[in-house]
Amino acid sequence: MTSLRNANWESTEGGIVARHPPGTDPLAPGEAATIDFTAEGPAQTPDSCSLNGDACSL
Amino acid sequence: MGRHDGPGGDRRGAHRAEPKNSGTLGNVGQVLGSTVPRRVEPPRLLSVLLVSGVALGLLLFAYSTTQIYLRFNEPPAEQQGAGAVPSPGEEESESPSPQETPDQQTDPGNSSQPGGEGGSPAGLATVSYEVLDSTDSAFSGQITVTNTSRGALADWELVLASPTRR
Repeated sequence: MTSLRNANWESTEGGIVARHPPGTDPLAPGEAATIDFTAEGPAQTPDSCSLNGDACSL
Repeated sequence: MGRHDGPGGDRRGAHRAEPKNSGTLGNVGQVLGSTVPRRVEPPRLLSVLLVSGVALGLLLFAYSTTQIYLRFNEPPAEQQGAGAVPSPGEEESESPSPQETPDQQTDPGNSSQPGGEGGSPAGLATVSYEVLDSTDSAFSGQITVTNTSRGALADWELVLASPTRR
């Protein structure tokens, strides 16, 4: 991952961690946060996902 | 031979055998006199305004009630394509729907409920990942975190891991 917008993020050993940007309003019910990213290499989909510590699927 | 003056003594010119108020004009006069009031008062302006106001008020009230709708249930959360994730501090005190529970715990290793996160009345959220453009050496995309709960979702943290780090 080379860049990521609309969220705080950091690169980890196996991927990235994106966080809710501080100072912004919480997500209201039904609201969505869109994160744009660019990455190097061929397109791929992460093989694991977790949100607030709970597994999610992509 | 004296003239007999009975109760109809004032009926000059009428034959004594002729009943009182006889004839066409007499009948018409009786009908009109019995049905038409002697004096018809015009409606007062205050009464007209009062009745009109009440009628208008009722009409507006009836129209305003058409704008009221009741919402007993939240629309079903879209659980297709993206996994549902219970966020920390989830307080679904209501009876959990049986079709949501298995989706939330697709990974047995993460089935334990995390501790509550301060100030976040969380519920369910979905994550979608989409590649929008790609070349041989790079690609770009979009990740969407959607709050499908009934409360606000604050301080979310999304962890994505890939087989090979980029």
